[in-house]
Order: sequence, then structure tokens, then C-alpha cells
Amino acid sequence: MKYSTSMFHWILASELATSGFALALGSVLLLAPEDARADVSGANCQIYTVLAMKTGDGSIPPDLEFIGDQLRDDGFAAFKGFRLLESRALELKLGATGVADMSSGHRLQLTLLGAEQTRLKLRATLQAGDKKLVDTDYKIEDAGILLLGGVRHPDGKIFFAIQCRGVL
Amino acid sequence: MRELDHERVTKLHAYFDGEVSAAERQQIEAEVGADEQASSVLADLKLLRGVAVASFDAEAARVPEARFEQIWDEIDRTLERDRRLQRAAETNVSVWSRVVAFVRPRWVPAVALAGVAAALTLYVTQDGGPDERSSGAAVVASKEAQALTDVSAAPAAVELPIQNEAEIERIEFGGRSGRIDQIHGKNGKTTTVIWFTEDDPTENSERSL
Repeated sequence: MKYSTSMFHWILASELATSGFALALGSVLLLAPEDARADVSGANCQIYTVLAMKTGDGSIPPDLEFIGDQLRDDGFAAFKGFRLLESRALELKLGATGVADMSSGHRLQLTLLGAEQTRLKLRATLQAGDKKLVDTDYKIEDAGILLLGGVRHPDGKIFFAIQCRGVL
Repeated sequence: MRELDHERVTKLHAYFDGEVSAAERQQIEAEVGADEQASSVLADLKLLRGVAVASFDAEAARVPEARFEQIWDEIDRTLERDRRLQRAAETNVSVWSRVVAFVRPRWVPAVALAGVAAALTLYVTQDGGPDERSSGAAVVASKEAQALTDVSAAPAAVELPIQNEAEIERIEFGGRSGRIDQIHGKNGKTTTVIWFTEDDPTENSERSL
């Protein structure tokens, strides 16, 4: 009987230790900066203007290698060459809209709507003159890239790569 | 007038489609000249072909040029994909590649563990202060792309998150059309692509991507 009681205590202690460890680990994870994204005050965004051309040798230039995996996908197989035309930085405050007038003549507006855990909620609006081409609300992981494209160009198509990082 | 048997009808079809030898063609032409029923079968085949061709032409006339361009795009993509697969299949697998493939299942967890340890170390040692760049109204900074060969001008170490896929909550296309694609990269990361086609009232050959 004594043996059973001490065995019970040992199991209880073991369970408590395990729970304590789990609790400590959970606390660390909860306090980790990644999860604190819900408290973002802004976002630093980068907008890359890329020309996808119908001619070329299919190689990806070094300055576009960061999206090389995407450009090599079948979705871009119709294009044989790529060129980074422009890159712009936008610093957004939560709830504020940043405007980037691109050299292509298009206007890209980005708004940081909020954040959920490690994801940012953004609004992107692309305009050609007064006409809205795309207006979208999306959620994306911090530092994730959204590709937005289809702008007509004599050599192919222009698309934009949008990447935002939350700022605490 | 005798009925044409199945074999003769088949031969007439083959003759009509140009699938007979020269000798057979001569023989059939001689028969057709003397056989009213065979001649009638050939006339029916010609009529049928005419109707079918006219129907296809009418159908094709209804399809805009843009659709044909889309079809060619699809064909180009398919050929390109096949070429890639062929190139991949023809690539010689070196001894080192095999060694790496053998070792990979063992070192990947080790590297991952080291990464986690490094991340924890970084977290513990960092001051954790808020980013100081978050003040002021939205600022637009611009820089034109530098020479393509200038690696230093490339976007600095853009590492995509593991879950790169965007969740589109709302979207409105103002142009002619639009669609949302997902690219599943070889690195296991998914990227969302929003494609749109601009309006062009004077041009009807703009292809939809």
C-alpha cells in the first residue's frame, strides 16, 4: 500500500514537472517576438517592379533571384526573360495608407489594416490613372511576398512583388 | 446495283482520307468510275467534310484572337515544362549528389536543431526594444534598379516565410479579367499571384494571362 502511495506521488510529481515545463515553454513562445506581431505599430514594405519579357534566355538575373523559384514556375513559362525595373520602400503606420507612384505610371497604395499573430493584414490597390485595376485585402505571413501582375508593356508584362515586415 | 460491303466502304474511307497506296488508289478510282454506289459514298463523304469544316470555321470565327493566343501560351508552357523535365531526366547524377542525398535525411534535423538553438540564443541576447523606424506618416523612398550584374543592389537576403501563401479576403478587379494563382515552389513555399488583364477597347488581341 505504501509502495502504491509513493508510486502515486512519483507519478504526480512527474506530471507536475511535465506540466511546469510545458507552461514555461508556452510562456516563452507567447512572449516571443514573432507572436507579438499582433501589436505591430507599422510595417516596412518593399515594392519591386519586374518586367517579364517574351524574349530572353530564361535565366534569372541576380537581383531577382529572391523570387527565382517563383519565376521558374510554369505560371511564368510564357516569359523568357526578367528584369528588375525599380524598387521602392514604403513605411506604413497602422491604419495609414502609403502611396507609391511607380515609374510604369501606375499608383500602388498599401494600407496596413492590422496583424494577427505572425500575419499582417494589408490592403493593396493598384491604379492606372483613375481606374482601379486591382483592389484587395489580404493576410500574409510577416515578410511574405505577394505577386501582382498583368500590366501591359511592349516587351511583355509588368508585375509587382510586395513584401512587408511588421514593426513593433 | 449491288450493296457495298463493309470492307469496300472502309477502303473508300481510307481512299478519301488519302491513306491508300498508289496501286490501291488507281484500283479504287477505276471502281468508283464504274460503280454509282461507290461514287455516291464518296460524294456523301465530301458533303460531310464540307459541313464539318464549315462548322469548325464558324466556331473558330466566334473565338477571339486572344483565346488563340492563350492556347498558344498553354502550348508554349507545356513544351517548356516538357523540356525542363527532359533536361532534368538527362542530368547525370554524380557520386557526390548521391552522397548528399544519402546524408541529407540525417543532417537536416541536425541543422534544424542548430537553427532553433541559434534563434533561441538570439532571442535571449537581444534587447527586444521596439523598432525605431515606426514614426511619421507614410514615406515613399525610391531608388531605380542598378545594373543587373550588381549583386549588391539586389534585395538584401529576402527569405520567404515557410507559409508564404496569402489569404485573399476581398478582391475587386477593375480591368477586363483577373484571377488568383498559387505557385508551389520547389522549396515547399507557396506564393500567391494575382493576375489581371487591363482593358483595351481598341485592341482585341491582348491575351489573358
